[in-house]
Amino acid sequence: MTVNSLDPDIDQQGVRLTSLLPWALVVLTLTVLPMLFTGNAMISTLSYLGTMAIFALSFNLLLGQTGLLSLGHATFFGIGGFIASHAVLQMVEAGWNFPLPLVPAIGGLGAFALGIFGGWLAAGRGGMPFAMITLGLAELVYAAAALFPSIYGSEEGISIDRMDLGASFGMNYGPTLDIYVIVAAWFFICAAFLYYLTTTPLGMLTNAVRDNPERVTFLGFSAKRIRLSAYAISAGIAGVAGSLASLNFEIITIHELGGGVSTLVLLMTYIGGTRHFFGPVLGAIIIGLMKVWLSDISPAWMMYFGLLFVFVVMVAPGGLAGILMDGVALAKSKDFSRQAPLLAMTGLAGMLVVIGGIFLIELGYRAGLDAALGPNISVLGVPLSAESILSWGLGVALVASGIFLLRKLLESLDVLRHSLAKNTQGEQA
Amino acid sequence: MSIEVIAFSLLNGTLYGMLLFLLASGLTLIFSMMGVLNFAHASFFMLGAYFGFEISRFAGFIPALFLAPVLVGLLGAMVERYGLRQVHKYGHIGELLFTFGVAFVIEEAVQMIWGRSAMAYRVPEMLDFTAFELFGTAYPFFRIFMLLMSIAIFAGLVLLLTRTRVGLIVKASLQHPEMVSMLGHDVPLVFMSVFGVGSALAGIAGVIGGPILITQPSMATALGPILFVVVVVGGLGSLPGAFIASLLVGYIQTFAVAIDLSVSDVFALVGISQPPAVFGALISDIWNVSVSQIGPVIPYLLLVAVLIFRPNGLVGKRA
Repeated sequence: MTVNSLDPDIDQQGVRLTSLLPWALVVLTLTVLPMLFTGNAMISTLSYLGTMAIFALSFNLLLGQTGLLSLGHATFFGIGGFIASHAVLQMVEAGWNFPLPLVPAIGGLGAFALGIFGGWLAAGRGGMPFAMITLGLAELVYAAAALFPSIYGSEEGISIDRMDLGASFGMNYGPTLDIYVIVAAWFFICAAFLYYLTTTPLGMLTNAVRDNPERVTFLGFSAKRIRLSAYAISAGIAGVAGSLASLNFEIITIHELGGGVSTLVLLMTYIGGTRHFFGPVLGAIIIGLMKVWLSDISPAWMMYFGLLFVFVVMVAPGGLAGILMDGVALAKSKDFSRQAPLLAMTGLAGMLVVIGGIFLIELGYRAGLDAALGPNISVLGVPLSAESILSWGLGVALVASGIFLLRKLLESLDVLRHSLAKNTQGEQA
Repeated sequence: MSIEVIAFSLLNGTLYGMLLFLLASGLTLIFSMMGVLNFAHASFFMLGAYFGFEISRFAGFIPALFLAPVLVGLLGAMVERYGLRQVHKYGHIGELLFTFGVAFVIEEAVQMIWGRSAMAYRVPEMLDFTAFELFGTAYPFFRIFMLLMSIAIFAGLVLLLTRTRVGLIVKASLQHPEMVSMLGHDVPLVFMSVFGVGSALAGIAGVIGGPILITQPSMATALGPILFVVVVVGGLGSLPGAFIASLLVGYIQTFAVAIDLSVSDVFALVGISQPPAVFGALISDIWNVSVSQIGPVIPYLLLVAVLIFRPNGLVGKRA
């Protein structure tokens, strides 16, 4: 689903049906997931992924749609979480039976209000100045939060008990499945709202501000006001995500406001792909899973994560969603069968580089950080030793040969595509 | 605040400010070139400290002082040649994100190689003596050495940029790359060199700053944001601005730590010793805040204030 790719020629009925289909799939997936992945840990992971997906979607309203790079989006995630936690604590104290699923709305509204204020400060200009102001504001909030232990807790953060508000909607919120239901519902609401936003005049204007702010101003719109709106809405949705995180983990600490979380959401969104609406969701799922599962297997998961990001930035700025879409388009094209052998070989050569790289990185960790665990390690079923020249040599050889092959293959692929393009031109003529 | 504290804070503030300027000058040059802030700059500073530590273990501090910056500079040049130049076609956001990713990877690589704990990078013995005594307190020579190094490099940079042909070509390439290229100069090479030299400057700052600031994997993320405050407050792309802002931030940070005053002290002057209970916990938080706690917040307040009231920085061009 591409953002704003509505074709005016298709009649309204057709648009409605085809655009409803993906949403039906989303609902179906959200319902089926907890049936496939049972067990508390799994459901809790699903809730975490859903939360991060909402967060990444909110971030992409800025990065992908308005062309604004925020380096401090965690501020609103964290503040939303703190507002929600304090709201729960206060309402429990006051003895209210406020339904828990609506608590994220409070966090979201609070973050939205702060987003208006932050946007008023930051939205004057786009590009670099915007990135710097958001970084400055986020660092300011993070540094200042340490001064107010009664609001932000000190090291131990603010804890809540999500069952204290009592049962509502037939759930008592003890089981993790209840929290998943809340997260899934909010994911659907936020995703649908953000998608609807892309079809509204405001959504179109955010795209226009991204592509040519000067022209938007000449047309009589205030680029600042459009940026501000996008920023505030994005902040509100991030607040919802933060609230959900605080309900899921029943604790929120000052670290949720910090640069680490801001970096995480940027990496998730960009790796997933900023040019497709569901790209950030893909990124959130993949990076979230890497974070949950890969961190158990390998100490190097952050390194892989960083290298993946650098790879995407350098080679595939459309992100994983972009690669996927290009792949689908390529598979549909009639030249695919002639390109396929070369493409497969390119893929294999790429695999060589990746495997060699993994060997080297895992060996590096055994030689450095994890030297205490001993030099022997089995990577992808291959026994390696950080003390053996052979192991290191194997890694280097794999990477070097892979890169050599890749260069050759990409060259011939280029030549092939060139000649294919020429042929099609000839046929058309 | 006694005269003693003021004198020491002035000395340390100048020192910290000059160290910041070593970093900020390279960052400013690179910004003028790419139009993008280099997020990996503080990481090159960190690499300088680690390389300095590693080389001085085997060969002593003086070789480290020359070798480590060269290594960092080469690495920086490679990042420009094989990374940034490829990303250039994706625009400023792409370049910014690339440097962001490089900073991330460098931090992980440093942890991979040297571990997560701080290194025992100490002041070298031959420089570890008292320079002079001030109000009965010894002032270490190494700090004076750092100050002198920073000033020497600052002077060298100014002379290079304003008095030599190389400086002329660099300045011209920053402003009119096409024209300079037309005149037969290799502009991509100039850019690579500027990036390399900027990184090397960060490396020098790392080698001489490593023993004073602690050499650990978080030193890049700790210093990076402060560095951005400096270049933005000074005015992006302005070397004199970066100089003023470096010293300003240096003084702010050292003086804030030195002032031992809290909100409750201020109220104690007018005879109120207990926070009014009606306002609850929030007021008692504020009540106990001292100036030294606010210290880390001030640079960011300054940044936000400057961006709102003088968006082009203190010295930057008026829009």
